[in-house]
Amino acid sequence: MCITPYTHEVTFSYFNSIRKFQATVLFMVAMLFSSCVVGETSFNGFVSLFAGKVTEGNEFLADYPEVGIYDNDWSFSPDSTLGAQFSSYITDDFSLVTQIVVKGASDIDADIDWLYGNYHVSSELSVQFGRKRLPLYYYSDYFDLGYAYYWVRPPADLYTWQITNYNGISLLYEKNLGEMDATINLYYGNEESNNNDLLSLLFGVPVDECWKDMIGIVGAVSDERVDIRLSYMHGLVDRSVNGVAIITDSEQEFLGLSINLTLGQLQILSELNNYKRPDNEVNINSHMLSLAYQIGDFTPHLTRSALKQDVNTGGNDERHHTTTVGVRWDFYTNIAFKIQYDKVVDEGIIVPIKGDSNSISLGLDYVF
Amino acid sequence: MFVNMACVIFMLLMSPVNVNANEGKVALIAAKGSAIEKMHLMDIRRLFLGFKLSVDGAAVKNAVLNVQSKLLYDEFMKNVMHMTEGSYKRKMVKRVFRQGRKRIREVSSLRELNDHLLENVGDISFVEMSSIDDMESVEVVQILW
Repeated sequence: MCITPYTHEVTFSYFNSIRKFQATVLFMVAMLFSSCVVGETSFNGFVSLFAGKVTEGNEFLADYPEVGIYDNDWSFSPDSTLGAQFSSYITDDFSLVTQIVVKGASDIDADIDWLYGNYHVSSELSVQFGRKRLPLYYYSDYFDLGYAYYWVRPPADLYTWQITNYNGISLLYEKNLGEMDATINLYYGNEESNNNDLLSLLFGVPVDECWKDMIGIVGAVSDERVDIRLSYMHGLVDRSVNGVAIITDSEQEFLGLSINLTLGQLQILSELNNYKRPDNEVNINSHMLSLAYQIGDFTPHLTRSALKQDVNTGGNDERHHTTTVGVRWDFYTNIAFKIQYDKVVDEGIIVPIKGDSNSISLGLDYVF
Repeated sequence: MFVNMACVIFMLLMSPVNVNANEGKVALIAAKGSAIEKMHLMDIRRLFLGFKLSVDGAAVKNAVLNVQSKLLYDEFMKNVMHMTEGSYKRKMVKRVFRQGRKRIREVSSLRELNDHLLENVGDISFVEMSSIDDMESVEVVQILW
C-alpha cells in the first residue's frame, strides 16, 4: 500500500512488478535493440559461488535483504549470485544500463538492480533516470559484486536494510580537487516492496513496505590513501502487515560515514551508520571496523561489526555483533577465492534475529 | 689522423650511451596528428580510471592499457596510478558495475596497440621508449618516467 501521486504510482509500480520472465524479456529486447541501433555496446558480468554452514548454533542470517540463511547443512544458496550488466552507448554522452542479478537466496528469482539511462551533461556532471541501487551504505551500490571487496559479503550487521533499490532520478558530479577525486550524488526516488522478504521473515506474516519521497545526498573524496564518504537520506515510510496499514507517512532518516585508509599493504575500513524513524521511536546505530593486510596475492582480514537498536515502548531491542576472520586469495586474473569464519552474538531478547552462531563460508568471486 | 681517431673513439663511446638513454624510459603515446599535448600526471591517472577529461584535454579520448609486459604494467600502476594491480582492478570493476562505465581497453601486443591507436585517434597508451621504433605513425606525448 504505497500512497504516491498517480504518475509515480504508474511509473514505479511498473518497475516494481518486473520479475523473472519480464526481466529476461526486457533484457533480451534491450540487447536486440542495442545491437541493431546503437553505436557501441558492452556486456559485463559477475559470479559469486559460495558454500557455507553453521558450525555452532542453529542459523546465520548472512544476507538480510534477500534473507540468505545458513543452517547446519552445507548450502550454496545464501551467498551465491549471478549478475549480468548490459550497457548500450547510444552516443558519446548517452547510455542505457541494465543489470540483472539472480541470487540463490531469493530462489533464483531474477531482480533488476539497475535499469537506467545515463546522460553526460558535461565531463563532470551526469544525470541518471530509472532504477538504481539505493546508495545508503558504503557498499550498497555493489553489495552483490563480491569481487570488489575482500569479505564473502559486507558485514551483515550493517546491511540490514529491507529496501535496496529506488526508482527515480539522480545527479552525479565528479570533480578533481587537487590530488583528490570528489563526487557528489543527489537522488530522489521511491520503492515499493510487496511481501518484503526481510520484514515478512521478522513479522512472520506478509509485510508490504514502501519508501517514498526519498531524497538523498552522498559525498565522497578519495585519493590513493584515503577514502571518505558521507551519506544522508530523508524519506517517508508506509507499511502494512498482513494487509493492515500500521505505518503511514512516517518520516525516516539515514546518516552514514565511512573512512577507509590504504597505508601500503594495510587497509583500514570503517563505517558508522544511524537510522531513525522518530514517529515510531526507532533509532538504530551500526558500525564496523575492519583491518586487512595484503601479502602478495593473499589478503587476510579481521572485522568487528555491530548493530544496536534503542529499546522503545514497543520493546524492540534488536542487538547483535559479529567477529569475522577470513582470507582473500587472488589466485587468477579476475578470480578470487575467499574463506571466512563468522561468529555472531545475538543479544536481542524481545527481537532476536537468529541467535548466536559460528559459521564458515568459502567460495569464488569472478568478474567477466 | 688524430682527429679522425678521436671522432671514432667519441662515436664508439657515445653510441651505447644513446641506446641506453632510452632504456628504462616509458612514454605516453598517441597516434601522429592527434594534437594531444603534455598532460598533468593527475589527468593521466584520471583517464586510466575511466574519467573524461574536460576542456584542456579535449583532444584526448580514451586510455588504453598496455598489458604486453607485466613488469611495465606493474611499474605503470606504481608510478602513475599509485596503487597495486589488485586495487586498480577492484576500483575499475566498481566503476563499471556502479556507473555502467566502459572498461578500460587492454591490449597485449605492440602490433595490436599500434593498430588501435591508428584506428582510434585521440586514444593514449604507454610503452617503453625502446619500443617506439617498432611502431608506426605514433608520437610521444611525454615521458612518464
